[in-house]
Amino acid sequence: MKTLKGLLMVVVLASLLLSACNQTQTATTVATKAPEVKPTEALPTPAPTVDPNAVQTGGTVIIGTPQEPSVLNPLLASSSIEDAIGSLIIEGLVQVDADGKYAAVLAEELPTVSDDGLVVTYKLRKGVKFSNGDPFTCADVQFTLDAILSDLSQVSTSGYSDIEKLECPDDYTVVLTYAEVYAPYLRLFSYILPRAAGDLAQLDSWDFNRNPIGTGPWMLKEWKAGDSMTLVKNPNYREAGKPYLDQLIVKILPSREVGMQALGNGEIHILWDLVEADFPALAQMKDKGVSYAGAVTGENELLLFNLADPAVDAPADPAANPHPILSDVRVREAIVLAIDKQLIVDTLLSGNVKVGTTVLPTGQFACPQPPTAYDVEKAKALLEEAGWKPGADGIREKDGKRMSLKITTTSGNKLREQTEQVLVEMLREVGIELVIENVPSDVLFAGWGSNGMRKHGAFDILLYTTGPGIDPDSHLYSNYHSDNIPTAENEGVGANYSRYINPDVDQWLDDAAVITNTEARRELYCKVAEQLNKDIPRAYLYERLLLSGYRVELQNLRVSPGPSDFTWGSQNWWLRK
Amino acid sequence: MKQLSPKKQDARRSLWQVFWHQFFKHRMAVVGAVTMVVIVILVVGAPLFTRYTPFKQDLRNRFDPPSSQHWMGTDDLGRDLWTRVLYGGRISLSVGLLSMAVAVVIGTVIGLVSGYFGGWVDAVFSRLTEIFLSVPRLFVLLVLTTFLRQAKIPGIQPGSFWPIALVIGALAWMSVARLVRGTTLAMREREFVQAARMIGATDGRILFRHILPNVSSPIIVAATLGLAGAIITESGLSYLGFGVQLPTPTWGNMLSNTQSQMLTAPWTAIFPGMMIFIVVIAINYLGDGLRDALDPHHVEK
Amino acid sequence: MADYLLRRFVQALFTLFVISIIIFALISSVPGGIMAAYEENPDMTQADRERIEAKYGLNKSVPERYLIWLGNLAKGDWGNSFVSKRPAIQEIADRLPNTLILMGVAFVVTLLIAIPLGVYSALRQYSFFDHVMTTIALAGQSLPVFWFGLLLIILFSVLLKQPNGAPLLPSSGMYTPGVERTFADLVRHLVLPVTMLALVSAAGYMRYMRSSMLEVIHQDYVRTARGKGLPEKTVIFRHALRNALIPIATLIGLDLPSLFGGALFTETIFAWPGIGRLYFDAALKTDYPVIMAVLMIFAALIILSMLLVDVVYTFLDPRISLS
Repeated sequence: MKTLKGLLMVVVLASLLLSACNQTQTATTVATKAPEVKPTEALPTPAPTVDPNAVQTGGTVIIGTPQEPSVLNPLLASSSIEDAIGSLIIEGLVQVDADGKYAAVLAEELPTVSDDGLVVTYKLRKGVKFSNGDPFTCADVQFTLDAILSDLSQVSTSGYSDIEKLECPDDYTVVLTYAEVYAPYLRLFSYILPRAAGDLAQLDSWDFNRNPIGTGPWMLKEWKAGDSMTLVKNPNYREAGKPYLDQLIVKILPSREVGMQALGNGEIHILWDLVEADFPALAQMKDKGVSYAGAVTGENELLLFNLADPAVDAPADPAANPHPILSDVRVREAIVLAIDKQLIVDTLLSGNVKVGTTVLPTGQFACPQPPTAYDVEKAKALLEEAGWKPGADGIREKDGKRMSLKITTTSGNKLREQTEQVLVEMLREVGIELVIENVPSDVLFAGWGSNGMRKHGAFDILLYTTGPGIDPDSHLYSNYHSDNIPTAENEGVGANYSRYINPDVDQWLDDAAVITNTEARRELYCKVAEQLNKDIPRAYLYERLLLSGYRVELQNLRVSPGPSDFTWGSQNWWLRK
Repeated sequence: MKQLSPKKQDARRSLWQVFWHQFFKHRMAVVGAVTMVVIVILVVGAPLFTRYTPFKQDLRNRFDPPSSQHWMGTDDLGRDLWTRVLYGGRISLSVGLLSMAVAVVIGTVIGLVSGYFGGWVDAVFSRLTEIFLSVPRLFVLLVLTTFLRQAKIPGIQPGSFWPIALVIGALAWMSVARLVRGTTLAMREREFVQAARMIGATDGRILFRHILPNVSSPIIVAATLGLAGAIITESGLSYLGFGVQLPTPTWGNMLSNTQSQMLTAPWTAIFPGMMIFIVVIAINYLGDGLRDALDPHHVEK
Repeated sequence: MADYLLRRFVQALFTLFVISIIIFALISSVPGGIMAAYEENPDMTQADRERIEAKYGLNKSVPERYLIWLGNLAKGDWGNSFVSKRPAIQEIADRLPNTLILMGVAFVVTLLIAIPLGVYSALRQYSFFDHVMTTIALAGQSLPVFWFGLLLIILFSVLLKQPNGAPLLPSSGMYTPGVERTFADLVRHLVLPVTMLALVSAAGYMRYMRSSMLEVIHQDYVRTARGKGLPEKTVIFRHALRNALIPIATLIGLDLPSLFGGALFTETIFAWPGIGRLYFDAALKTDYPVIMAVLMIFAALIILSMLLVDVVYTFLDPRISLS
C-alpha cells in the first residue's frame, strides 16, 4: 500500500508536468506553422513621426541585453554591445545610418576629397559641446587620432596610420593629408573623444572608460556592475528639446530566451541582438505588442571550402597540395547544386531572409547575382563526371577514397547546428558524407600563434558568417587576394582561408584599392563577385540580419548596420502612452 | 571450483534469500528495477519499436505536436522525437554507466587505501583529492573534451562517446573517495578490524574482506548518485556543445538544444527531460533497495 | 594542535601552488583566447594585433607569463582584467556581497529543509511521508539544473501573473531597475534562484542525511542506549543524530565552496550580478586575470573548508585523533 502511494506520487508529478505542457502547445503550434511576419520587405521601419506635436516627451526606456558591456571607451571596446551602448554617449564625424549609408554627424556634411584622393577636408558643426561643457573643435579630432595611434589603443589603425598630417586651419575645419590613397576613408572617425578624456599613457586607467564624456544625447549616471546602467539626458546636447525621453536603463539579462519573455511582459522595451532563429517566437509575440527592427549587414552565412590538403600545414599553393575532394571545382559546384537554400530559408528561418547569391549583397557596392539552382540530378552528374562513383552504402568513392568531409562551426549556435544537420541529409542525397565536428568559437577563430584551424588550413568545410559590411575594400582583399593566404612565411597574415588563387581577382582588387571614385570601384568589385561565383571558394547560404526586438509603444527605433546598431537616432525615441 | 560444505551452502542460500526478501520488501526498488529493464529493452531494441530512423528529417513538419503519427511530436528538423529518444537512450545510458564505473573504482580504491593506511599514503592521496576537488570540474571538462576532439586516438572513431565518458568518470571520483575514506577511518578502529589484525590477517584481506563490505552501502548510494550525475553532466556538456556531436542523439543534447523552444514547442524539451528524470529516479530507487538489502543490520532485524 | 594546523597550512600552500600551475597551463593551452576577437576584423593589421598582444603580455612564453603572474601575486597584485581594465580583485570585490547574499540564504534554507526532513524520513522509514519525501528528493536530484531553472522562470515569471498582469516573480536580476531599491524587492528577486538552489541541493543532503541516520540507528550503541531505557528523544538527539551528522559535516564542508560553483549556474540562469556570472563572462571572453583570480580564490576556499572538515571531525567523533 505504501509503495502504491509512492508510485502515485511519481504519476501525479509526471502528469502535472505533462498537462502543463499540453496547454501551451495547442496555443503555440498555430503560430509556429504560419508565421505572420512576411519576408524581406519586411523589416518594418517604423514611420518617422511627421507631426512633431504628436511626440509625447518624458519616460524611461529599458534596454535588455544578454551581454554586459565592460568598457564604453571605443578604443578599448571589444564587443558589439559596447559599441552600441557607447554610441548613445559618443558620436563621430561620419557614422553609418539606418539605411547603411554614411551620414555626417559631427561634421556638417560628408568630407570633400581632392582629385588625387590624398587630401580629405571635414567641416565641423559649430556650437557643439561635450557633456562636461567643453566645446567640440578640431583639437578633439587631433586628440582622437593621437589616441587611436597610441600604444595602448586596441583598435585597428588601418587608414589612420596612412594619415601623414592633420591640420586645423580654424577650429571647425579638419584637413587630412594621406600618404597614400585610402579608398574607404569615410569609415574613419566614427567616434570622437574629448581632450579631457585623459593622458594617453594612462589609457587603461581612465575614468572615461566606464564613464565616458561625449557629444551624444545621453550621459551615464550610474553603473551597477553586472546588473544595470542608468543613462540620463545630456544637458548640452545640440538638438533642442531632445532627447525626448528622460532616462534609459540598460538591464543585464541572463539569456535571450528570458529577454524574449521580458519583452513580451513589458519588463523591457528593447531587446538587443536577436538572431534569425528567433523569427517564429517574434511572430508569436506580435499580439503582445512586440515588433522588431533589422538591418541587412552585408554579411552571408556561408560554407568555406578548403581548396588545399588539410593534412599539410598551411600550404601556400593549393595547386601543389590539392584537397583530395574539394580541389575539383565540379565537386564544389555539385555541393552548391545539392543544397536547397530556399528550403533552409523557408523552414529554419521562417522565410524572413534572402538566400545568399553574392559576396556583395547590399549597400553602395551591391552586386546582385542570380540565385544558384537546386538541381540534384545535375549535381550527381557533375560528381560522376569528376570520377566519384556511388559505393556500397550510397556514399561515393574514387580510387578507394570515400567522399567524406568534415563540417565545422561554432558549437552551441543552435541555428548553425540545425543548418549543418540539414546539409548532412541534403548532401547524402547526392552521395556525399558530411561529418559534424564543431568547436567553440574561440577555437574556430583562433589566430596563427594559437594554432588556429582556419589559419593553418586544418579543416574541410567551415560554416560561419562573414562579409564586407559597409565598404568591401578590406574584406575582399583579406579574404580573396592571394597575398592573404596565411602561411609560415607571412606568419599567418590574412583571411584567405580557402587558399584561393585567381590572378584576375588579385589584379581587380589591387586596382580598386587605389581609387576613390565609388562607381569605378563598384565595377571592379562586381567583377570579383562574378568570378567568385564561378570559382566557388565559398558558398553563400543566406544573408544575415542585425535584429532587435522592441515594444510597439516605443517610436522611431531604427537599426543601423554600423557600430551604433539599434541606438542609431536614440534622441528621436519616444513612448506612446 | 571449491566444494562447499552442506552447511556453508545453506548459509549462502539463506543470505541470498534474505537479500531478495529484503529487496522485494522495498517495492519501489522493484518498480525501479522493472522500469530500468523496460527502458533498457526499449533502448536496445529501438528499431523494433519505431518505424522511423533517428536521422530522417522532414523540414515541412518541424515542431509537430504529439499525434498518432509522432506520439512524442517532432523536433526542430521534423525528426520523430520518440525515435530519437529511443536511440538517444543508448548513448546516454552508456555514458552514464561507463563514467560511474570509472569514478567508483578509482574513488573506492583511493578512499580505502588512504583511510586504512593513513600516514604519508593518506597525505599523498588527500593532496591528490584536494587538487582534483579544487580544480573546477566543468572548466577542466570543457578543456579536456576540446583536446580529445582534436586528438586522433587510434581505434576510436571520431564522434565516439568513449573519451567523454572516461573524462567525466575520471573527474567524478573525489566524493566517493572522501566518503569511503571517512568511513574507513572510523572502521579501522572498530573491534572486528582490530580482531582480524590480531589474528594476523593481511592488510589486503582486511581491506577487501572486512572493510569493503562495510563501506559498500555508502558506495552504493554514491554510485547511484554518480550514475545520475554522470547523465546530467553529459547533458550539461552537450548543452555547451562539448558532448556527443549532433546529429547523434543523446538525452543531453536533445534537451539542451531546446531551451529557446520551451514555450513554442515544449514537447521537444519535456520528453528527453522526462526520460532523464524517470531513469534517474528508477536508478535511485534501485540503489535504495540494494542498500537495504545489502545492509547486514537489516538481516539481523 | 598548533603543530597540526601549521603543517596543514604549509600543505595547503603547496597544493595551491600546484593548482595554480595546472590552471594556468590549462587556460593557456586553450586555442584562441582573447586575441581571437581581433582575428575576424579585416581592418586589423598585423601590427595592430602585435601591439595588442604585447599590451596583454601574450607575446611572451607560457612559463614566462606564469612567473610574471606569480611575481605580481606575491606583491598582492592579481592583475587587471583584460576586458574592463580594472583590477581583477576589484571586479571580484564588487560582486562578492551579491554572491554571499544569494548563497548564504540558499545554504541556510537548504539545511533547514534537508536535515529535519532527512532525520524524520529515516525515523519513519517506509512511511507515506518517507516515500513522498524520497520521491521529491529524487525528483530534485534528477532534474538538470539549467532545465529546472527555466521551468521555474516559465512557471513563475511567464504563466503565473499578479492581478495587475505583471509577472508573479521577477525572472532576473537583483533589484527592479528604475525604482528605488527596497528589501522587499530583493526578497522577491531571491525567491526563484534560492528555490532552485535549495531544492536541488536539499534533495542531495536529505538523501544523505536519511541514509546516514538509518545507518546509525541500527548501530549497537544506539540499540544499547535504547535498551538501557533512555528516552527516545535522548537516544535520537544525543546519540544517533550526533553520529549521523559526521558524514554530513564532510559533505557540507566540501559543499561550501561548491556552493560557489552552484553560483555559476544560478547566477547565469537568473542574471544575478555575482561572482558566478563574472566568471562565466570572463570565461567567454578568456579574460585570463579574472579567470585566474576567481579560480584561485575558489581553490583556496575549498582547501580551507577541507581543513575545517577535518577539525570538525575530531570534535564530533572523539575516536578520530588529529595526529
